[in-house]
Amino acid sequence: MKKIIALPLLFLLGVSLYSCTKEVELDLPPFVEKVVVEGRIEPGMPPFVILTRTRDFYGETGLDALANSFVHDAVITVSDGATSVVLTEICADNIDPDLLPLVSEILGIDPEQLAAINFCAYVSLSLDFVGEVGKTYSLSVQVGDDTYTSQTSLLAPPVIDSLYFQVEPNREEHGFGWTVLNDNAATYNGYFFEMKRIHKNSLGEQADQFFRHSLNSAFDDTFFNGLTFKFAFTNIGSYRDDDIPDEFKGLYKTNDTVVIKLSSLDYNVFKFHEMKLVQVASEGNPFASPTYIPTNIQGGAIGCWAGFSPRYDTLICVP
Amino acid sequence: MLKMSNSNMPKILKNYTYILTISLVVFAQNLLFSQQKYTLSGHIYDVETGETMIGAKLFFPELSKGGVSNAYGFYSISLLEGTYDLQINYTGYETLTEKIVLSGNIQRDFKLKPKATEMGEVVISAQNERANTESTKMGTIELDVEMMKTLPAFLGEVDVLKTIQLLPGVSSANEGAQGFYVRGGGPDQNLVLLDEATVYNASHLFGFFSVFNADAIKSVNIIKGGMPAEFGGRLASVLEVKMNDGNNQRFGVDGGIGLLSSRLTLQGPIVKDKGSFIVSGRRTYLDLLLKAFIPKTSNFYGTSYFFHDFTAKVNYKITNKDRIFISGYFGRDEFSFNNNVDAFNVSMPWGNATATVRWNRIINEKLFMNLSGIFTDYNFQFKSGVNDFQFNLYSGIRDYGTKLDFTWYPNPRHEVKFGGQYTYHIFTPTSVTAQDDDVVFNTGGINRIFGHEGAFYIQDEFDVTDALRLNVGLRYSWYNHIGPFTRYITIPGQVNNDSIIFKPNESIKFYHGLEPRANLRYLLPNKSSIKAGFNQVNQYVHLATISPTSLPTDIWFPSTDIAQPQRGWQASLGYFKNLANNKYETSVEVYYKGMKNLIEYREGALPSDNVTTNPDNLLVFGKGRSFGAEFFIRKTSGKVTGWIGYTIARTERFFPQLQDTWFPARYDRTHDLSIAFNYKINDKWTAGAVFVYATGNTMTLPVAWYVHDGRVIFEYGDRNGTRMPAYHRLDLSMTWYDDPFKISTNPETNEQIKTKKKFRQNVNFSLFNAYNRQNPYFIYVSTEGDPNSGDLKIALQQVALFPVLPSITWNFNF
Repeated sequence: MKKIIALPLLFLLGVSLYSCTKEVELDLPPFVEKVVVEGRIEPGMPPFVILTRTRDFYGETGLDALANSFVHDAVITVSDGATSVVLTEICADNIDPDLLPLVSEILGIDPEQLAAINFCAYVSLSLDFVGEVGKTYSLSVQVGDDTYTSQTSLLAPPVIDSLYFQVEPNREEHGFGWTVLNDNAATYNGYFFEMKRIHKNSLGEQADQFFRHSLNSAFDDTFFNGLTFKFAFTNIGSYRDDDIPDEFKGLYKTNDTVVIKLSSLDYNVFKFHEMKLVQVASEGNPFASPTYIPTNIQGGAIGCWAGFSPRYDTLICVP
Repeated sequence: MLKMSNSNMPKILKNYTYILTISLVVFAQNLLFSQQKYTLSGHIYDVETGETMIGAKLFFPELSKGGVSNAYGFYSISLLEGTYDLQINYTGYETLTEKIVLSGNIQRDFKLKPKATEMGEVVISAQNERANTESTKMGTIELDVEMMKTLPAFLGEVDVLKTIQLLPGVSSANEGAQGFYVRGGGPDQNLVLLDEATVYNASHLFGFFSVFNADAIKSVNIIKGGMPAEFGGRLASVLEVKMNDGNNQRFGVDGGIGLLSSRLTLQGPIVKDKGSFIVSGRRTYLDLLLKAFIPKTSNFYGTSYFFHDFTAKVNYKITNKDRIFISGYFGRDEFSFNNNVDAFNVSMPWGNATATVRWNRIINEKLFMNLSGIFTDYNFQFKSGVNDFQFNLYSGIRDYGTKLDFTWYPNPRHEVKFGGQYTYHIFTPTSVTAQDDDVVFNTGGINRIFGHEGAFYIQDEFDVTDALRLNVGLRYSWYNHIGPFTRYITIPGQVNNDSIIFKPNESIKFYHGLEPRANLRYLLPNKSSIKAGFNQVNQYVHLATISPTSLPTDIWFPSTDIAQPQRGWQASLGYFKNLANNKYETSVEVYYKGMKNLIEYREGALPSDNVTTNPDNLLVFGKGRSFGAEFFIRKTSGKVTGWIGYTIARTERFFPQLQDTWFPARYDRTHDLSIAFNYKINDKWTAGAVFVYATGNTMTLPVAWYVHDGRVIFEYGDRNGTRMPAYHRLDLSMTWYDDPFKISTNPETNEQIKTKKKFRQNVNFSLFNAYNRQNPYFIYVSTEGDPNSGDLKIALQQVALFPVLPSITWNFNF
C-alpha cells in the first residue's frame, strides 16, 4: 500500500531527475596550432620523443588526422650535462618489422595500429645513452625556426615494502591487490602507478600486453609524507577483458599474476600527469572546472618531457 | 588603510564632503529657525493580524508633508502646533483618515484595514503608491510574498530566491539554481539577511530550493544599487528577508502539502495586542520514498536525502516604549549514500542556524532605537568510508554579532539614522581528518581564521526643496584578522613544513576604510523623478569557488594578510514614473560599477589542495567591471498584476595570472528578460505565468585536442570564451481558492446569512517549462572510441536537466 501511494510521487521525482543530452556545436575561440611533446626517459632505457601538433577541436579525428599530426624533420637533442645524443626519427613504415613488437611495447600501442597510422617517434639508436638515476636530462627540440626546451630528473625509485592480495567480502575469490609503500619523509614525492597482468588468459595469451594505468595513477605524498602507506590497486586490464564478467571488473581473481610498476616523478612531471588524468576523469562532470594542463616545455610547445624512475614488483594473487 | 582604486576617487570624496557639508548646513538651518513643534509618533499595525507595517505612508495634505514607518512599523513626525488631517496609505489597505489636534506630543498607534477588493481585483504591496517615484531608493525592489505564492512554483515549492531572479539586474546561476548574481557581482557579494542575521548558504538540495519558507516571511526587499549607509559588507546587493511577527489577534494555522515537501505554521497571541508567536516548519519526503523503494537487501540500502527547516519567532511589548523580538532559523540538508557490497558510504550534512534577539525602544517621540544580538552558524560536513579508510571534511562559519541602530526624526524634512555593528567571525575553511586502519594521514589539523569586523555609520535623508530629496551617508568599516592562526609557507615540489604561528588575539592584519554613500531624487513636474546614486563598499569575506557550479563545498573565509578586502564602487542614474493613477510603476536605470581584490583559484588548483595549506595560498587576485541598463514596468493593482524586467549588461574580469586580457565573467549576460504575471480570473481562480529569456552563460571550452600516452587530451581556449545557447522558459500556474464565505439560513427569519469561513484552502497547479525547452544545464566534451583505431569521435554534449514538470500543492489555513 505504501508503495502504491508513493508511486505517482516517485514518477514525478523520476521525471524531475530525468536529464536529456544532445550534441551541440558552439562557436569556440580561434584555434592556434601548437607542437606537443611526449618524451620519456627511464633508467636503463634510451630516451624517445613523440612529436605531434594539436588538432582543431572540430577537425577530423580519423587515422589520417592522427597520421598527419606527426611533426617530421625536427632536430631533437637530449643531454645529461656531459653527453648529448641526437634522436633519430623513425616511422612504422621504415623500421625493421622485427623491431615493431619492441617499439609497440615501449609505446603501449598495438603493432597493427602503429602501422595503420604510420606512427613516428624520435629515438636514440645508440644504447650507450640510457637513463641513470640521479641525473638530470635536458631536451632541445627544434622545429623549423622554433626551439623548445625542457628538463627532467630521474629520482630515486620508490621503496615498496610489500604487495598482497585481499579477497573482498561477498566477492568469492575476487579482490584488490594492495601495495605497501614506504614514503621518504625528507623529500616531496610524486608517484605514478601502472600494472600488467602476466598470467595467461583463456586464449593462452598473456592477459595484458602493455602496462596500463588508471585515472588515479598519479598521486603524491602530500597526505602521507614519511608514512608507510598502503593503497589498493584495481585490475585496470579487466575492463577490456571479455573473460571477466561485469560484476568482477576491476578485481583480481585468486591466482592471477600481476606486475606493478611504481615510478617516482619530479614535481613538474607529476603535475602534468596529475592534471592530465584529472581532465580525463572530469569528462561529463558538471561540477568540474576546465582543466588547463601545465607543461614543463619552454618556448610555446605543450606536453611533457618526463623522467620515470620505476620500481617493479610481482604479485601472485593468493589470499 | 585601503588605497583608492583610481585617481578619480579623491575627487569623488572631496565632492562628497561638499555635499555632506551642505546637508548639515541645511539641517542646522532647520533647527535654528524652528518654532514650537510637537511630535506625533507610534506604530502602524495590520488590524487583523497585529503585524507591524513597514513603509506605510503618513501624509498631511494641507502641508504636503509626511513620513514613512520604519522597519519596525514605527513613525515619528514633528509639526507646528495645530489641527491637521492625517492620511495613512498602504497599498492594499483602506486609507485611514484622522483629524489630529497637535497641542502636545502624541504617541498614537494606528491600525490599517485590508481593502475589500472589488471582484477580480488584486493588489500587490508596494508600501505606498508613490514610493517608486518619491523615495530616494534606487535599485531597490520590495516583493509581495502573497504574489509569490500565486506565481508558478518549481515542483510546487514557493521560492523567494527564484522570484528575486526574475527582477532586472538579478540573474540566476544556472537551471533551477538558487545562487544569484546582481549587476555583475559574484554570489558572495550578496548580503542575505534573515531578521538581520547573515545567511551564508541560502539554498537546499545543492541549490535547487531556497532556505526561506514563504509561510514564515513577512517581507522581501532587495537593494541592487544605492545601498544606504546602514548596510555594508557586500559589494553587490542586500537581500533583506524579515520573518512574520505572528498574529497577535487570534490563533491561526497555515499549511501546505506538496509533491516534494509539506509545511505547517502555527501563530497566535501570547497576550492579545501585546505579544505573539509564530513557528513554522517544512520537511521533504524524498528519504521516505527512497526507503520505500530500496529494500533492505539492496546494495544501496541506506541511501537517502532530505532537508528540513524550522523557524520560530516571539515578540512582546513590555511597555509602550519597549518591545522585544526573539527569532531563529534552523535548516539542515542530509544526504547519505551507501554501497553495501563495496563497503562504501558517504554522509553529507550541511545547514544554517541563525538567532536574533532584538530590543526596540522608543527613547523619546523623536528617537527610536534597536539593539540586536545576532548569531549565525553555517557548516558543511563530508564523511566517507571505504573498508578501513575513513575520511572526514568539515567547513564552517560561526558569527557572533551585535548591532545598535538609531532613527532620529528631528523634523518632517529629516530622517537621520546612525549606529554601529560588530561581528566576531570564526571561519573553518577546511578541516580534514583521514585514517586508514592505524595510519593517520597528515591533513594539517584544524586551522581556523578569527576576525573582528565592525562599522559605524550615519545617514540623513532629507528634503532640500520640495522637489529635491537627498540621502547622504558615511560608513566607516574595519576588519582585524587575529590569532591564533598558522600561515603555511608552501613551495611547490618541496616538503611543506614551514609555517608562521600567531598567538591567540595577536593582530595579524588590520584593514579599514571610509564608504561614502549618496542618493538623490528630483521630482519632475509630471510626477516622475530622476534619481542618482553613488556608493562605495568594502567587503571583508570571500567565497572561493573551485567549481563552475555553486556547491556547499565552496569555501568561505575572511580577509587575511594575503586576501585583501574586496572593494567596489557603483554609480547609477535612473528615471522613474508612475502611470494610470499609480497602477503602473516604471523605471529605467543605468549603472557602472568597479571592483578590485576579487579572487579566483589559481590554475591547476584542486579541491584537495585546500587541505594542507591555507586556502588563500591557492588564490589569484584580480579586478572586475560591470555596466548596464535596466528597464522595469510593474502593474501593482487590478485583475492583472506583475512585471516585465529587461536588462542589457556587460560584466568582465581581469586576472593577470590567469589571462593577460579582460574576459567575460561566468555570469555575464548581454540580454536578460523576465515577465511575471498573475491574472485573477474570478474569486476562485487565479492564473500565473512566468517567462524568462537570457543570453547563455559563458564557459571555457577546448579549442584543440591531441593524443598523449594513448589518451585524448584537450587544450582549453580563452576563459569564458564560449557561450551556451540562450536560456528561455515559460512556467504556468492556476490556483483555485475555495469560496471564502458560507451561506446558512436563519431558521427564524428564513434569511440567508453569509459568514466568513474559518477554514480556507487553495490548490496550486504549476507547470514548469511548459513548452519543454531543453535548456543547457551544462555542456561537456565527450570522447568515444580509440584514437589509434580510427573510430575516435569528439563532440560537445549539452545536458538539459528539467523537462516539462507538473506539480500540485494544497494549501490551507484556519
